Amino acid sequence: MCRMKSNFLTLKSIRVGFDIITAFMMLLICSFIAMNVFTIWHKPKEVIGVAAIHPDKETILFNENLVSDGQNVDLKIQPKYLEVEYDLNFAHNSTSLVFYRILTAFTLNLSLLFSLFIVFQLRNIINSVLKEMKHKGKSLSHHVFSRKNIQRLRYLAFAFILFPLIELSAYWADNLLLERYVKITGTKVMSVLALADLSWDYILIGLVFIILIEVIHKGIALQEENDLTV
Amino acid sequence: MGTIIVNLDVMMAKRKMSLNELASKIDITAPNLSILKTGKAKAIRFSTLTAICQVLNCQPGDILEYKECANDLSE
Repeated sequence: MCRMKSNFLTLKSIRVGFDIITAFMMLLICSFIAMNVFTIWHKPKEVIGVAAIHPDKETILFNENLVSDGQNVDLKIQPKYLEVEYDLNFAHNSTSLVFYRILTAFTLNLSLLFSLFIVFQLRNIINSVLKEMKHKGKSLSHHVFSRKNIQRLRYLAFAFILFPLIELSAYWADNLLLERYVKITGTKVMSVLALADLSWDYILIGLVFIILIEVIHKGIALQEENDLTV
Repeated sequence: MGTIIVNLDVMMAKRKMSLNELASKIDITAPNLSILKTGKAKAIRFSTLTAICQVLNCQPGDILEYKECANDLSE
């Protein structure tokens, strides 16, 4: 009984912690959204971004020597591309630019949104366990894997899978914009974000998560059936 | 899809037997027998059914009944 009470108090304090983190993150996201909406509203045609410029034939060479800080080490550095900042404020089609800017703003805040979603779902799981413990008074293990919590864990898994896909859409939009507006002869202008930089491993984590959830779900169904067999 | 109705309470009333008495005679716990009586059970073992029929001196059909749903009847 005493152990149950201490478990209950620990969970309650964790939930309060999650509440504070959720409130802080929501505040942060709201301020980011307000900032982005303000800039898009006032300058819909202006786009400032970073692009990678790959030369078509020759590699870019530096005039100065690049010296290593390490002793007795010879270094030959050949940069593959240049990272440049661009500023578009004279484009004709403003709707596509606005769409691009919304997508970019969304992607920039994606990690924050993703973290908020995870924290919120975990908070809900802890809250449901606390409610069940308060009303039914059984131990912690009885309530963690309820049907609703399984659904919440499933949402988390889908969020892990969706995260890199949204990043991919931003990468695709970035390339599309650069292809359309930034053209330099003899070079290939691409998004500074490479395909390999996207969080592909999140998909694997999400898939493993889904498999685990399905196993737990099946286990719960079997346990329920066994419990209700007389 | 129809449902199976458990008429255990009717048979128990006919034999004037309490839940605890029946539970102790067929060697299962009273909460488990209550699950069966209230129709919450998902399955019943043949051994349990045999023991109930033996103690209540009845047939399985006296305890279990199949009932069609209203939707099934309209079809």
